[in-house]
Amino acid sequence: MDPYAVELLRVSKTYKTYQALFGIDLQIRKGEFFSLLGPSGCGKTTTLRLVAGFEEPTSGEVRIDGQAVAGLPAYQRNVNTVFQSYSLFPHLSIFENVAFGLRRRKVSESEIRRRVDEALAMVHLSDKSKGRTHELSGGQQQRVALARALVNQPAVLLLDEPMAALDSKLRKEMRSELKRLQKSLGITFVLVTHDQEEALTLSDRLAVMNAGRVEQVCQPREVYERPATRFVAEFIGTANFLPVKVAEISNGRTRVNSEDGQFWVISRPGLQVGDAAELSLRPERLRLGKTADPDHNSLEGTVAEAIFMGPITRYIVNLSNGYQLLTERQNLEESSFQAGDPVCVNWDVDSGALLPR
Amino acid sequence: MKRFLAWALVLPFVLYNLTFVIFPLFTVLYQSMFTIDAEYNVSQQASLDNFKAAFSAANLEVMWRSARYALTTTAACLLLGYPLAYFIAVYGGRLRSQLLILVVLPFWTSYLIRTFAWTTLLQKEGVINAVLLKLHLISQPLQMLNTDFSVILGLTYGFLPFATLPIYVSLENQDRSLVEAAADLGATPVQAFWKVVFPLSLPGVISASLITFVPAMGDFVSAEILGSPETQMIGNLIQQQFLALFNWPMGSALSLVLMLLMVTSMALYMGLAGERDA
Repeated sequence: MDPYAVELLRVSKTYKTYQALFGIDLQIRKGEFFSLLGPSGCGKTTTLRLVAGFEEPTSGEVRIDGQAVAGLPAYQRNVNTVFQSYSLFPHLSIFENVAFGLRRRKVSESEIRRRVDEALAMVHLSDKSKGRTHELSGGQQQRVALARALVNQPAVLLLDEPMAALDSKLRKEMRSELKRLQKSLGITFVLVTHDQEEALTLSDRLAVMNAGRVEQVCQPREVYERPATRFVAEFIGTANFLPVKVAEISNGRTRVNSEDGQFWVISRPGLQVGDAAELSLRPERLRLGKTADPDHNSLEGTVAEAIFMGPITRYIVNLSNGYQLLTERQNLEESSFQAGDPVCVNWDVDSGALLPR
Repeated sequence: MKRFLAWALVLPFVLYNLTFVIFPLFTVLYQSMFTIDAEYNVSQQASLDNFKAAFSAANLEVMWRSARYALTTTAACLLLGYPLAYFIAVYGGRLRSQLLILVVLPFWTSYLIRTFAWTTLLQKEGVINAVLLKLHLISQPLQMLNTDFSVILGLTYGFLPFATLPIYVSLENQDRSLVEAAADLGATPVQAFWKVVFPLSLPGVISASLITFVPAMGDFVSAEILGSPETQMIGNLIQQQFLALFNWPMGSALSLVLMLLMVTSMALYMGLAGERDA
């Protein structure tokens, strides 16, 4: 059996004068929660529409459940979509909205009743089944859209920025709801989002997209800690970047030289001795100290600014060569650094990520 | 102050309606109460004689015919106007407004003149017969003018834009993503149309039918120019009473009967449409 629910092979999509996708490859496994994450215009929604069947690729192949779906119209594909604007049918009751897909497939009336009731119960809207969609709040409409899609037991559920229109409290509730549904139903979910927090908290794996290309496909933790490109490092969280040169590779570790000294970092495949690279450092992985840690990477600087933010304090440290580092420190004790203090910035070998330049 | 402003804004409309709608309506009602004899002497006594005469067997037949014509016209306008509106709304793209101008373009010429133009097309020696004869599709010229067909054709032609515009508006305002949602849920394009697009355009279809039926019912131009005495409509009767027989009281009575017919049919229709909607 094919292990992939959705596969995209060198898929390109060109609209009249605009190329939206440049030969992307993706493998989405059965039963996983997969996210397409990227800024607007990166091609994530186009990718989703190609899978749903609303668009045909200009070149390349889309497979659903191992079957090539070229030329197969949306109404014949075993996928369902939760639209960004929900797109509920305003002339139908909530029950009929959810029943819409089953009716198209000529499911018996008693079966429809059973499954729609079940789907509405699943999203906690059993009592609303006779109501009209416009009587519902945004969050409830969202749930109807979910029930309407899931009642058909699709091979893949596509979610196009489903939480973009909700306020932040509802969004968090919907998030756990989505995760719960996905786990209990075991259906493959493909979520399109520009919200990194959403993608990181929900996904088993995610693809970071930029300008029509896939920059990285991996697990949330890896995308944060081992970004593949500078774009990924900048798009997800914040990072400091130092220009470096690869000096030595041994035992899975790489020694790099910078203007301020040399550091050890986990090797990155593909980078050779002599290559120019960038060292990406997450602010919370940098430790401030009065002295340099002899066994760790270390840099000297001066605190330029200390910004108290409640649970954390953010420090901006000026390095001798004019670079600035952003660091964060949890306020577990009273802060001991103020603007103007000389400091050492220390970090572990596995705290940095090497990026090609 | 706010109240005063509101009244001041409404005042012109109220005055206009009182002067040009309500007052004439009462004049018509008043006139209809009196009868006129052969010497054009107005009766002294008010009576309902005109209304009795209005419901003569001959007149009832004309009213029934008017209703039939108006209904057929409405159906024809919907059948022609819906696809036209759909095409412009869905496939019109950037040309939409230009296409809409084409729809209302006939209004630039008077309805009367446009109806006359049909006679040259429909008559025995007319363009349509000439072409059909030339193509050997018929051996004898067809009698198209002065028939039910020609009158309904004239009405349909005249009111098609009225039917097209409200349907267009209801389709244009529709969220196109609903069609995608329907397709996503397994609806073929035909199912998506009948289950989603059409039901959502019903308000437009209802306005279109009212806006076609009402003037078609009262029309006299089409029957006058393209019809014969056998295709007379109630509008022709009224026109005759006023302009040929100079029997204004009788004409007034007939007008009121027509109004009553229309109000009743509209109320019935709206009631049905409303019930469906709820």
